[in-house]
Amino acid sequence: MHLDKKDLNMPRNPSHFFRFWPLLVLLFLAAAPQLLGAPLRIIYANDTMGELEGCG
Amino acid sequence: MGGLPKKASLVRGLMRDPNRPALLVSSGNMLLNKNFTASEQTAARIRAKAMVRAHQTMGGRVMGLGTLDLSGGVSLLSALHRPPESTLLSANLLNRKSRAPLFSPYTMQKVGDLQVFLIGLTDHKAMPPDRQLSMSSWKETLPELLVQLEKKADILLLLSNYPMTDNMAIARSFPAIDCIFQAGHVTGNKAPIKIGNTLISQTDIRGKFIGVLDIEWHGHSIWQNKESAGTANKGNMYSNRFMAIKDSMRDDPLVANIIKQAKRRMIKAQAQPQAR
Repeated sequence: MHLDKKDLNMPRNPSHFFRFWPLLVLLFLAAAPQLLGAPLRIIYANDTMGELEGCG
Repeated sequence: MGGLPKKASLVRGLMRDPNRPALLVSSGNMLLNKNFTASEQTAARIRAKAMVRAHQTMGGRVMGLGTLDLSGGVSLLSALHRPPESTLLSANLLNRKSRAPLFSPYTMQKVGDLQVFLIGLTDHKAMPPDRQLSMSSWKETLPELLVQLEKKADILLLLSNYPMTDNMAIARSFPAIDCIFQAGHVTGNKAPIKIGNTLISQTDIRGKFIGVLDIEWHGHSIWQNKESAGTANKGNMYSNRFMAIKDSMRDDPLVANIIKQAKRRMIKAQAQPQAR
């Protein structure tokens, strides 16, 4: 029996895979926060003691 | 014009980073610096109100209460405690009769995707006797509170007015606390030290510096200093820096105006008794 690419449900042109690159990028971006961690900045100070004018 | 408008311009710049959601906290002794004579009370109240307004203008909603903050009396602090815009935190300052907390014991702040819970503690050993309030120790206060909060919190911070020895004991006893920002007992900037798996840090006094702690948060796991971790990228990465408030920095116009108005009111208040 002869099977061609069409019967095997394969794309006739390999470049068709690359049509979906935006989807791949979106999937990567969605997974990135879990990989990199959630960014957080804590700005802190203490003992300002009502100092309106002090400078370092 | 002084340091606070310059600090505000620096803080507001740091708060605006679109890639890094930020939380501004003051861990205690923000408002006042000593006990006052009756004639100094009015000026101290004006000063404390200006501090709270400036903190809000910078994007801050939360302040821990230190023992110095209480030198203006509970009534002043009650007037400034207006959650959620202005939340004063102390889990162990209690009403003498009812033993209920006088201020918020904790608060939740949504920062980016994270639910950040903050608890405040005031040093009960440094408090002079007061007819209006009583205090509990951290050993009495924290266990019950942490049972409520540790499962809800993505990250749990403690604003502590206790000295380093107590904060180290707290860190060893309660690993659910991720960071302790301390106030009131040590001078100079103190870069984060890791006790158990809790970071403890503080800045120098009188508003000369701000601390900036940048974190990549993966949930409760080990802390790793970004600078010393090298390529090992495990756990929660952090990097800390202290930024000095310098004369060369530009003033934030909104905060400069708050201080200008406060100064005008203080001069007016000082002049009033002489006019009588």
